[in-house]
Amino acid sequence: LPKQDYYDKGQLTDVAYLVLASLITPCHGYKLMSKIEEMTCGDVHIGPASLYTTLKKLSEASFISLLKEGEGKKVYHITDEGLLALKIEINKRERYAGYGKRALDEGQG
Amino acid sequence: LCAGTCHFLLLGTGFALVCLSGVILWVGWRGYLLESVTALGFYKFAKGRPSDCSYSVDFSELKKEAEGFDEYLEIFERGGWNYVCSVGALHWFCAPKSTMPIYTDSRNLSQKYERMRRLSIWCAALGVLVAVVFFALARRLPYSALLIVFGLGLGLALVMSVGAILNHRLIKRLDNQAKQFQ
Repeated sequence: LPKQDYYDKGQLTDVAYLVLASLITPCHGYKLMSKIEEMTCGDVHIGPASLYTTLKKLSEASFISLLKEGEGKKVYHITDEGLLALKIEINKRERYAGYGKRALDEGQG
Repeated sequence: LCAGTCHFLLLGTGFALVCLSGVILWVGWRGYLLESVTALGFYKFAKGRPSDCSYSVDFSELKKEAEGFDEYLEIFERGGWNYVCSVGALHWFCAPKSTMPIYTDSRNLSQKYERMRRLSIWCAALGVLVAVVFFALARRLPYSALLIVFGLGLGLALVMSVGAILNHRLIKRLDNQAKQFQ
């Protein structure tokens, strides 16, 4: 199986999207689970294995970078590339929500 | 069961993943807790208090000695999963039953299954190799020793290959289930 580089194709999974959004302000990797829970008002829980894999993939795609390393706890931050990807994703998700809403409104008259 | 610690041979690491959850839960109820696992698939349990904690195995790209393993563990601990032991890049965790699963994203889960599938293919290939090596060795021995060596080799090879193939099929089924939610 080739590396699933959906980040290159400009598609972010829900988890990647939320992790990226939560790293607008720098944060420790292990704090992200609770941060995302707060951010989504308890709507989204991310499992540790999913979070760790997503952090690695986002780092490989240079959408996030390590702010400081060597003192044990790693702090991640979104990069310019990541910010651009996030904006594109937000725009796409808004458009898609719009398509659905319009179809629903038209259907219900 | 036994008094202090007890060991289970779950037919190689490959096959072990199949029966892992069932056996571990069963001994857990009887007060045995998983302590360590060896590459050949020996599971060591120590006597403790009966518990209904559930176990999860993650097949990451990270080995225990690798840099960044402490961060990996910390993320799991924050998620409520306590580290038990590792074999290579396979890591065992336990947590109370109500804890959220370690994978909540089907795409990431599929990637784990893909890594496990590849491992099981290697296990099967290794089993065949073991059979060939034992066969080559056995031809140089007297008849009685030949039977023992050949029997052992064939047994080991069968266990490894059959275990790996069963595991391969299970992983494929799990992966298809996961993909339905994508």
